[in-house]
Amino acid sequence: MKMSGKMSFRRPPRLTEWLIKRLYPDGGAYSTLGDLAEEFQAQAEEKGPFRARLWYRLQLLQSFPYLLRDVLFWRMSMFRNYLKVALRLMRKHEVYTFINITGLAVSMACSLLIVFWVRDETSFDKFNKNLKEIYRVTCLGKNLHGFSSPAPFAPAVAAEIPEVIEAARVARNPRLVFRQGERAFYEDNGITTDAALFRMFSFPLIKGDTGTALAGPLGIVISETLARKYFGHQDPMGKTLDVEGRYALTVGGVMADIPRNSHFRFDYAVSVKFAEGADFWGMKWGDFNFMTYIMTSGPRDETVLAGKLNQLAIDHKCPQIVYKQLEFFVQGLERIYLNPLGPYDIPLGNKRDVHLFSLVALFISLIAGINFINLATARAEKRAKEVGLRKVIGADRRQLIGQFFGESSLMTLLALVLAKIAMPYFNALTGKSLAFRVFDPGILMSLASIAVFVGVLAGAFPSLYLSSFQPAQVLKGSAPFVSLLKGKRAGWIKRGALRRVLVVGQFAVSIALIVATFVVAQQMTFIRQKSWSHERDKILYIPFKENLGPRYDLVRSELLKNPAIVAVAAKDSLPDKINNNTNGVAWEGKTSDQNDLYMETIRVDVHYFETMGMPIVAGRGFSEDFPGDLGTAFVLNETAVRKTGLKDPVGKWFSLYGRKGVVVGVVKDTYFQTFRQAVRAQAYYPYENMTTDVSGIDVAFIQVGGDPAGKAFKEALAHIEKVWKSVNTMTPFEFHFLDQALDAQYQNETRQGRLFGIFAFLAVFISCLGLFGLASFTAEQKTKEIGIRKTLGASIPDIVILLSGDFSKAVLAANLISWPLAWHAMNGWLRGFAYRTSISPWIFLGAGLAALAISWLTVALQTLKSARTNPVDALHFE
Amino acid sequence: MKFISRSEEFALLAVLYLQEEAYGVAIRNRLRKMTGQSWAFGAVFVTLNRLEKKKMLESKLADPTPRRGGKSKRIYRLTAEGLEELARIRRIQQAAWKSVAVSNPQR
Repeated sequence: MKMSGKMSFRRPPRLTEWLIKRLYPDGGAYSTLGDLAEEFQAQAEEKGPFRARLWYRLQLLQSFPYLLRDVLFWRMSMFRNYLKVALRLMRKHEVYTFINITGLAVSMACSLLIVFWVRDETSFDKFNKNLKEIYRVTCLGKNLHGFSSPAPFAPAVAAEIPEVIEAARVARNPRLVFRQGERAFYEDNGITTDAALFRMFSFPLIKGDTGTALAGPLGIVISETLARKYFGHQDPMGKTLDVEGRYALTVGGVMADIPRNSHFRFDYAVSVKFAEGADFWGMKWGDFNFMTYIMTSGPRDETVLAGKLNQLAIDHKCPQIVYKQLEFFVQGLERIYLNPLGPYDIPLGNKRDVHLFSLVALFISLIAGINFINLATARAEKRAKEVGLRKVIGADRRQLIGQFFGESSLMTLLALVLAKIAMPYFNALTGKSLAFRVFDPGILMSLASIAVFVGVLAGAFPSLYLSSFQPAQVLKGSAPFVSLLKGKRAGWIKRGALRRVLVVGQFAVSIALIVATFVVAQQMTFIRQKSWSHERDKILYIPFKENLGPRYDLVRSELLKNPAIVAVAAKDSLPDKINNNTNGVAWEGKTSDQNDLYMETIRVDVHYFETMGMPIVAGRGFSEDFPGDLGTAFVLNETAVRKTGLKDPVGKWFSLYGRKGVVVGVVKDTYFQTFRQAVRAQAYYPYENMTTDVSGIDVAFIQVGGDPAGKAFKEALAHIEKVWKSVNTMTPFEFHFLDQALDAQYQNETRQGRLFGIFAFLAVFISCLGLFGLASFTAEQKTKEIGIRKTLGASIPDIVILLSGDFSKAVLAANLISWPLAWHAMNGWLRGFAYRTSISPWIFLGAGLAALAISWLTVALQTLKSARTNPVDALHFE
Repeated sequence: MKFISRSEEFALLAVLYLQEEAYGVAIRNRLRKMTGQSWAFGAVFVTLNRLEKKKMLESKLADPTPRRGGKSKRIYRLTAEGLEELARIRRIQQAAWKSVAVSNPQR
């Protein structure tokens, strides 16, 4: 190459030249660069080097769109080719394709749904603008892990602690009857609070003003829904609502319905001043009846804040704090929903569920990813030829990786469609109302991360692995592909060990999920069976809110006129609620260290135990035959007897609030509240005088005989309604089945059980898909071996055992791994229940056997087919 | 039936005109003269490349010159297909133009 010309050669700008060279990757660039250089010389001579350089660079810019179009055109046509190859492969290997697509798409759809759910669970309260500044005051003591504080606490905090700028009290109202004209309903979901609440939380008022709405004792703020319910299209502002026939509340504000993802929700709010007047709760420093929310100026250290609260309570001589029975803590708003304090707390979120299901999503993705890897490497030998050919034609590694990634993205898309279809069912199952919003940034992020996760797991490994083949060796066909790998890794993979390890992992996860399903189901059955009464599905209850005390006897005798109605009784609180929990009890032989024994005291009428089917285990129940019972008799439950240490309790003296009486009987422990807590010590005592005890009756229980689906039962229901209407003019008629009300407490667990079942099924299904695919490839690979064995005299069972032995071993090994893990995890779950079943070893054995049986069934078809082929067909190529 | 684009047609004509001197710079100059507007380098390059892929042009490398920084010229030549395509386009165009009357200021 000669460089010495008469004219000096001016070098064009190097960077630009380099860029142009990169952009024209083929041979043409060489002469094009030459063309450009020539033009550059001419320009430089004519207009000077500066202009020439400028021109040169401009050329690059001007050419860019054309180049880009050209590059894209060829990229596109390559992509078309990939797509074509992918589709051809899919058609050629239908089984493989089906397995891969179904497995991967189902698992991704699963994970996606779980991501939606987890996102929803973690989104609670995030809509609040003051999220970081709001705290809830909680308290912790020996007998109580609670969230309540005294009524005067919040105002004192707001006034005396400088960094607290707002403080609001919240108490759940009892169920009240609201009436407006002809419309009367029970309202369950109301709170008593301060106006400050609306300044702290982002609960916007549509009408009215936060300052004035709750200023007076008779103001009320109602939700949009409630406004429509009582006032239709009229403007509710300034109108009055009748409550319990005793108060007329003036609507001072209408708020937007509380968002679904707020940890506490309410339909109406009344002022604390109203509660003071209505005397719902004690308002002294010793009465822990309100939740307190505080808002600080900027986020604060929680321990420091709690220390100040405790000091303030001591300054105000709050007895529980002074005597160190309780200590205040604070909980940031962000953490409230997922960290409920005991079963009675409002937020129903559960951090463990969130973790658990995230883990399940991960597991299921893992299983499907393993399938993808396994099948892809199993097929690698075949695929290797395509890769080799592509490489010979000039594909570089990046392109190949791109191709394989493309294949996995295609499946991601499919999974998305599947998830969309499954969404409504998932919603029904979880009791959520999640929307399929893909274009939410958070969802897009998690979607991308799922795609990348599965893509990396399922796509990258095979693609990196496959694209590393040396084309010459693969195409020659002489070298089996595994020998292309060097060193230890080769031996490991050659023996199929990697694949086997992955299968073991897959089945370990599946078995663990099966075990979890069984344990959850067993626990649920256990709870149902333990639920005391065999008559529970025949017991109805009617909330008895109104002043029906004087008419109770009339109602009762009217009801009993229907032949199907067996018994009627009354209690002072709803079946799953307890009105009174006190340590104001004493008994014969009470010692001083029993002073902190709290008992639930329950007022009932004399027919209660027989109506509810609660067996008396010692002594007798209350009875009309013993008129002396009224005011003096007590019935304890078994736990109470155990806790008090009373021996032969019948006939011993017992007192409640200093009123002395006699224990007449012991009733079997009953389970009205959630099984997460042990039954507590309970003392029952009868109403002294039903006609004068006006406020004490909250619920009437009615036991109806016969088949709940039968005609007599229906007639009885009609009769109940008629009687109710004849004596009652104010409150709406409603009744509930006791068993349904009690089951509702286990909604979460039931759901969890069902979800586990479904996930376990999917996990097993996907694992089996993978196993099926592997089995068919093994069989294919071993075609010749089988042929030779058969010629040498192997029988069909021999061959089947040969082929399925490997998988059986894998499944057995999986059992060994998953049993201890599952046992540990499920024991942890059961520990959340006060009454729990023991995990029977049969569950493990059953899960293991089920997995083994399913895997055999999966493989059987394939192995039988290859075992029965005529050896001539397998060998005639040689 | 597919047609080549206008720019491809011009490029073919330029190559035909330049004969043995048909390489990048010369073609670009010719195109500028022919159309009265400047052509970007990339536009010329892409068009020539595409025509070569369509087998209407063929090329060979000629001697390098110092003025080109020691890089070869790529000399383009029409193939039989290229010639045929030009003839076809011309035929079609003439026929098409004949059948309509478009006011032409030059006439």
